Amino acid sequence: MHSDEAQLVDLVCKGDQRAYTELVMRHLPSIEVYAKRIVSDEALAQDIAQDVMTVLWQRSSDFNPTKARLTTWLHRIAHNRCIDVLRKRKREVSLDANEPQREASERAPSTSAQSSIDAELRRLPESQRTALVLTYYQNLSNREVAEIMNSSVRAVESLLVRARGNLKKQLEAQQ
Amino acid sequence: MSRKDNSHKRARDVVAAYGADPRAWPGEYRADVHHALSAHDDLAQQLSEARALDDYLNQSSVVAALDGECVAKQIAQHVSQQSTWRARLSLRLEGLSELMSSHAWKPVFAASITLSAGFALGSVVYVPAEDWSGVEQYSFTMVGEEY
Repeated sequence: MHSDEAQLVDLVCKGDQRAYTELVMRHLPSIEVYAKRIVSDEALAQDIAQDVMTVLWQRSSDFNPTKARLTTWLHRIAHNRCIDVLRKRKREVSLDANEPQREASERAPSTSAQSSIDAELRRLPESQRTALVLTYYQNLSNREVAEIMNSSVRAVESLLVRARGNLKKQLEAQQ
Repeated sequence: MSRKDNSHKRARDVVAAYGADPRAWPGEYRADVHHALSAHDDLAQQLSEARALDDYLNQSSVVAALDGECVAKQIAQHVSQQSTWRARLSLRLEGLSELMSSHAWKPVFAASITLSAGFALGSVVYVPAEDWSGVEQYSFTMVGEEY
C-alpha cells in the first residue's frame, strides 16, 4: 500500500475532510466502474459506489493497512454490496410468477452505446464475471481477488479459465 | 510428470486464466511461462488466441460518471463518523498534546495554581461562626416536643 494512503486513512479516522476527498477522488471511479460491470445498472452501481465511500468515511478505523491495500478493502466492500444487489434482484425475479425467468443480468437495463463485450460480460455467471472483472479490468493480483471473493487462488484461476472460455465461444460465434 | 511437462502445463494454465499480456501473469510464474513459450510451438497458437480475446475485452466502454469531490463533500457533511474508543482516545490525546505544545495553556495553568492556593489557604484559616455539632439532637428534640 502507498504509505501516503496509510497516512490519509489515518487522517480520515480523525475527521479530516481534505484527506477523505483525496481518497474518494482516487478510488471512486474504479469502484463505480467495477460495480457497473457487475450489476449492469448505472444508477444501482452509483449507489453502491457512494455506499462504499460512506463506509470509508464512517469506518476507516476498521481498515488495517498491514493486512491489505486500501483498494482491496474497498473492492471487498463493493463486492459484498454487489452480491446483495444481485441476490435481491434474483429473489424479485423468482417471486414474479408472470414474468418468464431469465438471468438477472440479462434483463438488467443497459446504458446507451454499450459495446458488445459489455453485453457478453453480462451473460457470464456472476462468479466468473467477478473474477474476470477484478483481475482484468481492476488490475488486482490473484491473491487479492481470492481475498475479495473469499476464495482460494486456485478457485479464482478456475473461474478465470471458464470465463475466458465462455467469452471465446461467444466471440467465435460472432465471427 | 517431468519438470518440463509441468512447466508446459503451468504455462497453458496461466495463459488460459490470465491472457496473453505478461504483466497480468502472476510474478512467480512469469519467467517459467516465458521459457515454456519459447520451447513449445503449440503454446504460440494458444497465446495468439488469448491475445485476440484480450483485444476483445479491451473494447469495453464502461466509464465512471460520478464527481468524486462532490460525493466526498456530500458524505463528509451529512454522515457522522463511527469512531472506535481507540480512535476517540487518540484524537483526545492529540488535542491535549497540541494544547500543551502551544502557549495557550500558560494563563490557564497560572489561574489554576492561584485558585488551588486559594482553596488550600481557605481550608486552613476557616473558623465556623457557630458550633453546629449538636444540631441533629436539637432538631429531634423540637419534633418530639411538638407531637
